[in-house]
Amino acid sequence: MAEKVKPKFIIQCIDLLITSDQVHELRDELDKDYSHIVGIAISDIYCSKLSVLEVVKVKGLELLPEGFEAAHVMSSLAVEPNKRFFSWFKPMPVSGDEMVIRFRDPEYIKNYNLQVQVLLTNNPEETINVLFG
Amino acid sequence: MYSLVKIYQGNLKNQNNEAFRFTVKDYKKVCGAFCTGGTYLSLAFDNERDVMLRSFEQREMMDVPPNKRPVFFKRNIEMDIIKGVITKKGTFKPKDVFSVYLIMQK
Repeated sequence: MAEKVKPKFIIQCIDLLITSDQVHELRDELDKDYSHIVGIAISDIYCSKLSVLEVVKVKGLELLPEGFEAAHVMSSLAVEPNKRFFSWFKPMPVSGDEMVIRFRDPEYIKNYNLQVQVLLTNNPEETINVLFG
Repeated sequence: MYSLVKIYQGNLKNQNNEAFRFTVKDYKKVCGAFCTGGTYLSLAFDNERDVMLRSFEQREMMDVPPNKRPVFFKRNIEMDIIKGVITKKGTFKPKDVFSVYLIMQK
C-alpha cells in the first residue's frame, strides 16, 4: 500500500463570529504535523480596513507586533489565492501549539464570520520562496 | 529570514503629521518599510544624513499581494538613528491609528 504523502504546506483556518466592535479572541491549536508558521491572511469582505490584530501570539511569543492593522494581511479577490499571505516576519517554530489572536473591528456594522488563514510548513525557506516569487 | 519592527504608532490627534525617531539595535540590515495606507512617509537614516524616502505615498493596495506592498531597499545599519515623518492624506477619523514598520535582517 502506497504511503500517504503529506503536503509540503497547509493552510489552517481559524474562524470566529464577530458580533460587536469589541475585542474578540480566536484560539486554535496549530496542526502538529507542521513545524513553522510562515504566513497569515484574512480574507473577508465584511471585515473593515480599520480592523486591528491587537495580539497575534503562539506560545506567548508575538508573531506580529501588537496593534497590527489587519489591512496589511487583507487582499481583494483580484489577488491570486496563493499570494494572499503576509510573510514579512520571522518564521516561527511551532509544534501543535495554541495560537491566540485578539481582533477588533472598530467599524463593525453587522455580524460576520472572520476567517484568519495561517500558512504552516515543514520547509520555511522553500515555501517563502514560493510566496515571494 | 526577516523580522518586522514597528518604529512608530500614533493617531496624529489634531495634526496632519507627526515626526518620530527610532534607534535600531540588534539588526544589521533594513530591507524595506511600509506604513498605514493613505499616508505619505519620509524616512532618513544615519541621523538625517541619508534620506531614503521623501513623502513616499503609501496607498491602500488591496489588489496587490501583501508581500509586495512594502517599499524595498537594502541598507546596512548599526545603532542607526532613524528619523521620519508620517503625514495623513485626506480626512481621517479621530480613532484612526497610524503605524510605520521596518523589515529587518540580523
